Amino acid sequence: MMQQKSHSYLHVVEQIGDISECYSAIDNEMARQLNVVLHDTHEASLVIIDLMNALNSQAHQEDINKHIADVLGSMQSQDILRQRIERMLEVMKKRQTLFEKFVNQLQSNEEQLDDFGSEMNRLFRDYVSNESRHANSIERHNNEQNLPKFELF
Amino acid sequence: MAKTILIVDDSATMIMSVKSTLEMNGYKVETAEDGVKAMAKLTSGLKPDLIITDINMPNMGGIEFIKKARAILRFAPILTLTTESQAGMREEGKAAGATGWLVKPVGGADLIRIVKQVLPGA
Repeated sequence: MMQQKSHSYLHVVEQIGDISECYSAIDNEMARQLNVVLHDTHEASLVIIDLMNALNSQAHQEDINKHIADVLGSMQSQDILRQRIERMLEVMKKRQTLFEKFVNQLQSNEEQLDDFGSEMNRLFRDYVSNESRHANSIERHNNEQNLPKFELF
Repeated sequence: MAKTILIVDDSATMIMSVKSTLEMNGYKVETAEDGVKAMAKLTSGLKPDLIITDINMPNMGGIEFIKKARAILRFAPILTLTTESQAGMREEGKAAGATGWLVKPVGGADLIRIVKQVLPGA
């Protein structure tokens, strides 16, 4: 019975190792895709800025200048998106590192495992708490402090 | 004579967006990708009338840059332009020497209005 349990345990550890590799492959592919999204949105921003500059050189009305300024302001959304994606990628990398550490400890038959559950939980809570610091994040909308968008001290 | 504004941000899109808006309104603009490069410009003799800086940047973040810049430019206004929104971070910026806190995104009209507010006569 104990031998059967031992075989099952080894099988589980092997499975977890396989899962870890797939996890890593999925994360790497998602990171690649997200970086492509960032690159493409940045390229689109550059095109729009060029168009705005060309339009501005021909503009002679104050209203047109104002619209151009507003469009240029909306370009900042690309940077906000970039930062959110970078924070997501960082958490994915840390999660993968934790999981690999867990698998390594299992495979090396260490007597005592680290408390990975707590560490993973802490990673999640730190991510949510960190997100709430930034405007335009989902967490920010949930923890609204009603601070002004522009504040002169 | 046109006022000079130094923009400090690690995002090329942000720099191009803010630079274009300011230049269209007659300001002269210098840029830097992080606090280290911005400090290099300041210690090389650049004396901007206004600094607009991001907070989360590699090599030297905005808070540290504001402290160092304040040691060189005692009176020039320094505005942050950041996604950081919480009160604690604002207080940290204020203590470092920031003149104001702007949360991204800032529309072109709002940006110019605020710049004119901190640079009277501009």
